[in-house]
Amino acid sequence: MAESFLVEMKNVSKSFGGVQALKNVNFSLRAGEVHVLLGENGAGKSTLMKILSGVHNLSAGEFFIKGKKCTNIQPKEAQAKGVSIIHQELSLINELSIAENIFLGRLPAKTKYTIDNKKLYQDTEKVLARVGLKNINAETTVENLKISQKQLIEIAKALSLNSDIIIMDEPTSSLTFEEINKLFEIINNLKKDGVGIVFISHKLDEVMEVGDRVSILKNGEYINTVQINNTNPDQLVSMMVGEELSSSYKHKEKSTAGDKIQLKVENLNKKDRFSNINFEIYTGEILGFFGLIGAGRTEIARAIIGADKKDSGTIKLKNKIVNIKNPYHALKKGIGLIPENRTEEGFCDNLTIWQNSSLPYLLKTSSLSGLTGLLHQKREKQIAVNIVSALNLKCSSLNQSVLELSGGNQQKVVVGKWLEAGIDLFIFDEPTRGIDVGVKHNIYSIIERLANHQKSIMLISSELTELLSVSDRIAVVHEGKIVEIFPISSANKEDIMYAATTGKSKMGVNN
Amino acid sequence: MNRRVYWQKYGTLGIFILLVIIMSILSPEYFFTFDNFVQILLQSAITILIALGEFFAILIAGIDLSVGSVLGLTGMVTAYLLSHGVNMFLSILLGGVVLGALIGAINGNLVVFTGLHPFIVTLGGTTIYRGITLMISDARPIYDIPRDFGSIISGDFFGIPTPIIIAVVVAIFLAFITRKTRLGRNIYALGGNEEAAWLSGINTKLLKIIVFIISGVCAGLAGVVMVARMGAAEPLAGSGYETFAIASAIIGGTSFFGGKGKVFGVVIGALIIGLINNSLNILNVQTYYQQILMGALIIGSVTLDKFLGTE
Repeated sequence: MAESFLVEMKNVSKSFGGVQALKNVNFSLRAGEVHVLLGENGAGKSTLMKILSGVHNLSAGEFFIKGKKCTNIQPKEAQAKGVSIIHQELSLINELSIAENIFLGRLPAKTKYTIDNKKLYQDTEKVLARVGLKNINAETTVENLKISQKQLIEIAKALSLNSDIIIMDEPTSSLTFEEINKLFEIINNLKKDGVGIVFISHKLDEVMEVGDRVSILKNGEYINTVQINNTNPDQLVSMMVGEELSSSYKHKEKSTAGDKIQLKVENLNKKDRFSNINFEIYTGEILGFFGLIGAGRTEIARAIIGADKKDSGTIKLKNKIVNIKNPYHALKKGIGLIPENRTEEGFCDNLTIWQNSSLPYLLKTSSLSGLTGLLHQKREKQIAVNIVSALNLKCSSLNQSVLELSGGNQQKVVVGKWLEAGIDLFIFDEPTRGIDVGVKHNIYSIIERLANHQKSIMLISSELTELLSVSDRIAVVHEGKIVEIFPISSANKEDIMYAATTGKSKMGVNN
Repeated sequence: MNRRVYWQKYGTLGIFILLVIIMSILSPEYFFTFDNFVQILLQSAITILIALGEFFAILIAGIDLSVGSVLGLTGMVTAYLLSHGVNMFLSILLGGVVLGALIGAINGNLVVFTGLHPFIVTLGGTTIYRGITLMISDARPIYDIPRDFGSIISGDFFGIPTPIIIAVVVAIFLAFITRKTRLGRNIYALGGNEEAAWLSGINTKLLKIIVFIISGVCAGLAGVVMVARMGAAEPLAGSGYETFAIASAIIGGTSFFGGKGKVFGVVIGALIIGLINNSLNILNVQTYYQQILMGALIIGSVTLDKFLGTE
């Protein structure tokens, strides 16, 4: 072998019972490189990484770590060989300090029964410095940290274990723009130290920025490995989905926005959340809302539907002032919110697919705050059937619990249940977060179809490419204020990003 | 998969039938008689009523610890009205139904507007309502209740004791609510995921208040039946009955985390408790052992549910 690899996997296969999860997959990792693993949900990325970290054992093929063949290794052995995995859901213990989290299970001992705190904090500061956390006290309780900082703590923990093979599973999904840049800086420093990084992500712009090589998996099969320099996002997407499908969804031929105002928000205020929010959405219009995480977009949406109280401000629907006190009023007035965290806010896991699907419809057609009326099983199941066909929802039965569905299909239920409830204004809050390309396109076409039917859409998203390809106008929110509303004709990435990160308008400077 | 479905559907009923078979073998001459079955139903009527209310409180991932005290207070007020010559049906309506609903509304409003867990609110409530009962009765029972009241509410109706009829009618009505109405679906949705229910348009605050009103009315009806059966209102009537109510709901398959459970299961749960007490009486087992057995049954049935009811 001319080249020495940190990890080498050849023709790796894995099956669970009768299901073939991986088929003849090849993968390698060099010291000092970022190897991106790309594929839709269920493509086999996590299974491959679970084999690497010793959680699963392979069914066929060969697998080497630093030139040594690994058969039937356990997670502990994989860790000893230098493999660390940083999960999407962080696994820190909130109640413990940073130092205790990093050295959990191997705290330095002073005597048989006591901990050497001095050494603990010194060692902690050393690894924290390597991930750029210099000004933070090692005794700080983890629950007081931001998500981005927690993630860095996880990386520090991996470094303290002398790991030189670090797997990062969608590390940027809950980070802001600045935090992502900082993470990439740290990744670059790790590369210089000879650490190999496996980077799992759905966001192609990041992949292009941080990666050295990229491997694509599809339905458990190995498609290809290419140098990042020799590829482009469109090519990657077509390898992922297996057909020519542009990563940037083609914007609809022409805007369907009418000249009638559907929603007008005037001087909406809520202390410490947002202030002086003014905007309007026309019938048939898709108004994008861009901003960094925590900019206040979700709070604005929740205040509009009455899910949270506002301090002041008026909301007009079709030029009439409406007083919306709770989501039931909003629903009655034809406004529905598709929330950002689908498992926590989107559906009831004790109800079946059809029972979840019919909930807004039943409420919309009842009175007295939804207390009256009988159920109508036939009509309810019909609604579910309509959703299944309109959104291409994959389920084995309408009587399944929504929890049994894959993430993308869960999202289809969460979106679909509003389609048959007589809604005129749809508020989508991050409708495509964490779902794969195929389902994303599904949801874009639904949004577009709604607009074509003269429905109005408020689309909150943190993916700028998505907003640029779907919206008619884009409102940029920074720290609770709308900085500027760009018509799509004059919108570009640089100006929007500038407004979202600085809170200042470039246009304003020029004018 | 099949095992789980069968257990969830027929588990409680299976245990009940098993107990009936065992007792029929152990004591064919006393246990397996029509009169004794009526007796079990009669003894279970009050438990069924308070358990049904409790079921709704647990269904929304809450609890109502005050059902025993509400039973005591409503019974006392009903007896007070009766003894002061108020019309029987008006007494039942005001002392049982309206007062029960009022207390439930107080519990529900406290839960919604303080944001405290129902456990805390109803724990406080339980001593407050008991205190009020002792206060208005001066800690003395009320005996002078018109005879008509006892003979109607605790009498027979075509050979079936009225308390059984009341419990069955309430159970059927509440089963209808849970199975056929949007109100019922909304309650399940609230129990399954409060935030999702709220964002879907369910007025979760109002719904919680309604659930506690249902619990209060059930306890109020139980209070009325209790007075009729005893022929008197005892100031300490219903003390500790929340245990029976919670146990019935849990044994009947209601999930403590909310969102899962059926009215029928709760009725069977209450009957299992009644059946065991009846059986141990027939077998001449002391009451101490009955309590120990009921405790074991609560833990045992939930353990069984954990192993058989999950995959």
